[in-house]
Amino acid sequence: MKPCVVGIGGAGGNILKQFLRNQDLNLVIHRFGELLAFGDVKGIWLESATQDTQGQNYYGNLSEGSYPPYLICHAGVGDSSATRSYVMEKYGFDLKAMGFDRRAEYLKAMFEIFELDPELKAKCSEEFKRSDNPLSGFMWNTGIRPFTTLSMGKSARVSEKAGSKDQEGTDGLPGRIPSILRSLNEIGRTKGAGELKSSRLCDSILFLASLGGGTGTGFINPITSFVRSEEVIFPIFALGILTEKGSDKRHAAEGQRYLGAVIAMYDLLTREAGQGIDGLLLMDNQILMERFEGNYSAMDGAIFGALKPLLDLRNYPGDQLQDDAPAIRRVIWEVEAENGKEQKDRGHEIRLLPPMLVPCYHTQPDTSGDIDTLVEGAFGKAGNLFPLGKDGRLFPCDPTKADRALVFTRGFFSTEEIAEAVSAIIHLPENKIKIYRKLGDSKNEDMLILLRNPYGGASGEHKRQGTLEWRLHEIITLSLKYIDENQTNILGFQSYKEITKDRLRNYFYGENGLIDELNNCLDRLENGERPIFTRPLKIFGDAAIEPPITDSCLVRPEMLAKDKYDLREMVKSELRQILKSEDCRRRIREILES
Amino acid sequence: MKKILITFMIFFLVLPMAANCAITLGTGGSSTGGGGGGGGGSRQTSIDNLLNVIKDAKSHGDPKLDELKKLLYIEPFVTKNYDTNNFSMGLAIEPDNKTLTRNDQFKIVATVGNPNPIEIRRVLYLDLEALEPGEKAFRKVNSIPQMIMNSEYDEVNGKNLSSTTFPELTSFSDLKTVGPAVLRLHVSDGKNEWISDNLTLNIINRPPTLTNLTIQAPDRPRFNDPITYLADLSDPDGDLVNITLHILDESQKRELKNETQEAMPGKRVSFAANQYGFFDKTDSGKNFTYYYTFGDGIVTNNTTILKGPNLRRSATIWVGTPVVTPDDANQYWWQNYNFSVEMKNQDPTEPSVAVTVSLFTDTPAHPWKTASDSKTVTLTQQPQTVYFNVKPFDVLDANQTFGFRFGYSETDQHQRDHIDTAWIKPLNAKLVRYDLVSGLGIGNIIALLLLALLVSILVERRFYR
Amino acid sequence: MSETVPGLYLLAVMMGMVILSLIFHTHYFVRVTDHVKKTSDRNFQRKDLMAALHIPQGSNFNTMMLFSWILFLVAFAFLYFMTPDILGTWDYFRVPQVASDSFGLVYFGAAVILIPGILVALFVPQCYGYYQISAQLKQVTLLTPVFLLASIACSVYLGTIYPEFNPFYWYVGYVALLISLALMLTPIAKGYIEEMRT
Repeated sequence: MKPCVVGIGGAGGNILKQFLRNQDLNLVIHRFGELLAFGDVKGIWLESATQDTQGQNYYGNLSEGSYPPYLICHAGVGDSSATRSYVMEKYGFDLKAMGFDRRAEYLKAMFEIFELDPELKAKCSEEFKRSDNPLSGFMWNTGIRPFTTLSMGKSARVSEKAGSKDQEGTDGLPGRIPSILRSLNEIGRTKGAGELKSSRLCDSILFLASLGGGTGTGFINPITSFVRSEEVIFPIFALGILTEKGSDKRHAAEGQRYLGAVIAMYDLLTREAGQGIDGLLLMDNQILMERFEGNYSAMDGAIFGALKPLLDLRNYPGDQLQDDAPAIRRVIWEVEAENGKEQKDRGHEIRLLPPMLVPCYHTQPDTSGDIDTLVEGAFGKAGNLFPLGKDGRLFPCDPTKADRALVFTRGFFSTEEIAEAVSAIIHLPENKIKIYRKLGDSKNEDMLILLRNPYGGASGEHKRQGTLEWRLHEIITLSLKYIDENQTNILGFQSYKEITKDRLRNYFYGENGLIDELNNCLDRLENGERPIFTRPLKIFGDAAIEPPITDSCLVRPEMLAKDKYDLREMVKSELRQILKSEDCRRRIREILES
Repeated sequence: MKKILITFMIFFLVLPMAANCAITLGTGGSSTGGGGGGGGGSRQTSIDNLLNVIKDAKSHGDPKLDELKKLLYIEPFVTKNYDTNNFSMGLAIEPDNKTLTRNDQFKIVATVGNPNPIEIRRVLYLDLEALEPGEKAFRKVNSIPQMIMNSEYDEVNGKNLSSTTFPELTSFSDLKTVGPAVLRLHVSDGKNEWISDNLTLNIINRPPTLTNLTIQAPDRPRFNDPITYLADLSDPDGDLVNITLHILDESQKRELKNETQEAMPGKRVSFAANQYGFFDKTDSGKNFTYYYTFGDGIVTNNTTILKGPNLRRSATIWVGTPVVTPDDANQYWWQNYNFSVEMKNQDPTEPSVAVTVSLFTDTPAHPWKTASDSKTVTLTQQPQTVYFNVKPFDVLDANQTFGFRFGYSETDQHQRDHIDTAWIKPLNAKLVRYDLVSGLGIGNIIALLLLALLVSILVERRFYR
Repeated sequence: MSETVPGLYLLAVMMGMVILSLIFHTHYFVRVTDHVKKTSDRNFQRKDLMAALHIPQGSNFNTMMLFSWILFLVAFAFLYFMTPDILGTWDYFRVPQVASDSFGLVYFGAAVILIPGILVALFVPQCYGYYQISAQLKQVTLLTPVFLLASIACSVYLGTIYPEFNPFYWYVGYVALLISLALMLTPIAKGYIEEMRT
């Protein structure tokens, strides 16, 4: 797998540095070839706050042909852009706002209006030549696409023309593609180019973003939409780093950041297959904080280090293509085989939603331990989920809950022993354990296991520390608290127009709005249901029109069918608990009074 | 007649003697033999007796036998008359070519036909007579007559013929003129003489030629330089040719000298000036001309007048001791060296003289190499320094001793045209002319680094990506 | 052999290092192949394993290693062929016309670069592509051209003072050459030692 790693925002940029760390000799004054990153990945840093790009000298401006590059996402919008004026006047959103005020809903709203406002669409098409969204279109065509294999072939030429027209007709845009991208394109489009040339381009996208930041996750879905307009099955993954507890350096409150994280996760995990990302890797910054005692540089290094087995290109002989991105994507989307009776019983088509993938990573010197110690180091001891940070789990979870495991090893292990060791701990049958072996070096061996959806299947798990349910329950609860206590902060942004405020109010507080949905999510977590996030929400769309997804979309755990009675009892006891809480009573009162 | 006489003599003289002898001799014998016997039978017995007596007399040495011999001489007589009218004679030449040059070899064959039989023949005496071109009378060629004896005839076609040659005349090389030469045969038998018909020969002469006339001499020779006049001589007759070289002055009017040689054709004729003393010091600076006259005794020709030689002036110069001064006492091979020598004009008759001076250096690797272009200097009576500041050596001369030579176009006080000097101190052995910390030293290193870097970049781009 | 420096013995030391590295390199592959065979579930060809083991080291590193190996040959040639009597009659100064030329060193060096240099460069540095070379080690190998330059400078100095000879500079040149060789061979040795510890 050779992804184009897109770091979004501050955290994404810092982590991206690790991915793009030069493996080559540093000659300082000159570079004879391209920058060599681990796994030959390419990368770009997307940022909305120009001031953040000024204070560093690692990234250069993409428009000037620098590499590694950064791209200001709104650089494609001129200061006197008609589109910008329209959006500002009608909605109160500034397309060129620095950092977008770190509000996830700001970005979400801003991208929605480009999808839903026909007049804005027309203005955009006229001004940006067929591009419906100057931000995501610009980021995709100028920033990301040239690094990918999508820049080759017929669709490449069509899209290139579109992209170049976008650039030509837009104020402030560079009138040329930066040289490194042009050369990559030329490499890709060399007459008779074989795999050797095309293999230098990336076969997937991996977004790096902090969940809870500002710029971060708001861009992922809009950019993904652009990709999906060209290639429905182009692999796109996101690595979300869940923000740590407490206030951050910019004094953004914990609740605000968790709200941003929740909104981001919600949006990412409610786009169906073929419309959004193919998987969300989750890491918890709190675990990293505790492990590395707040050393952000070490934390970033650990994040990158955990993914090295995934990115390493040294497959076992004969297995060169085992882990190319489309193959991994297919494995990640794999569901259980069904028979006709089950389909009939269900009565409706299953809609697939992107899975959550929890990385578990461990490394050990080559001379110490064996495969069992490696696996144990990744998962931790069985049943020992807390305290966090003592094992290789990078997000709280119970490994035994996973329905699939993708195991990436670097070392000299046989497939059988890997499968045996992993199965011994997470109790998955071997056909649900996908193994990707890479050749090790002589110093260390390591293992990355991506656990797919390691949650659900039992109620009350939200109370067990160290589970995924527990962590999500925590952040959703805090988000709800923040929403409840900060209506003015949420809606009182000075530039918002009334239409925007109305829509936001409806989105957050309206019927079947975010609050309701988050409460539903809590219920699902408590009941052990899957998936957690089901119904996509829009700020400017008609939420009522959107049909709720009434059924589990990825996997129907067999346990639910058998434990319906227990479930009913569980519901009853929960209702009793709920009715006891003051909060619940207040909400009932409000409903009755409204 | 003679026969009858002889018969009578025998009968009347010998028989009585024989009888006497028989008597004398036979006194011891009997007379019973019949004393005066009868007729014929007694004649035969008498002849036998006579013969026996003669034998006895011969065996005893009887003096009377001589007397008998005298009596027995019988005067010659012929049975027929001696024919003097039908003698035939003639001359022939071999090879049969009547047009000859003086040097052509030939053989004169005289043939005589004698009509008389052998018994009455006489010995014939032959003489060859020749009338040479320009002469008025025949002369006898041979000193001793050729003789044909009576029996030296062969019968050829019913004739008695005999031939002989005259070895005294085999060519006309002594002739001084050309023209018709007449030969005839004079035959004599002691009493009669005959003259044959004339054999006329045409003596011709082809004149000699002189070609390829050159002067072999140094460029601008001095009077005492080896100057040789050369010419190629040819004569179709092979005659000995007389060649005279005439040396004239530049105006071609006055002959200064001449020398003569005789030479056989086919040779290259040469006249060495030094050998004949054609030129002396007074001739320095003058121009001369020359021509040849040549003849084979019959014809004399001369060539056109040719120019040469032009003698150059010869001045005597004085040359001092040559010196060499290197730029650096280390005597590196790549440095300049100043070669100098003092020279002046010693010829009091010339206030100044232009002399071409050359410089040569001698090393084991480059023996007597021209070190510099020649220069022409004007020498006066005052000494002046002639110098060459050059870089005469190359790397092969490092660590070698060297010598040098000044060559000049005039003779010096030692009568030589050059002066040599050997330098004792050898050239420095250092080969590389630059230091490490110098433009060239650092430049070389930088060039190597750049080349290595360039190759590295190219190989990396081509094979390592 | 030169009376003043034991050139051939010291040459044997360098050759020994090279041969030892070759042995390490070969045995490294043997061990890795053994590891892979034990854990692989299918047969494979050697070239597949070589392709799988290959690690791109980057254009900068490759260029520097090529540059270093080429310069190494030049430095070796200068040290041994510009010092008389070390290799008998094989002596740069036996061709005085080249040796005395203003750019004689360039000609000599260019001949070394273009003939054996390219041949070595095509094959030898490829071995680095099979070892994990840390960034720090790569930075350390950047010292190799510095030492080689020092060696070349010493050799050039000896050439300029020829026929005089200064053993001190020869030894300095040799030591610099030896250090540079050690630096170039360190990645192989290190990789092998790490492999041997497994």
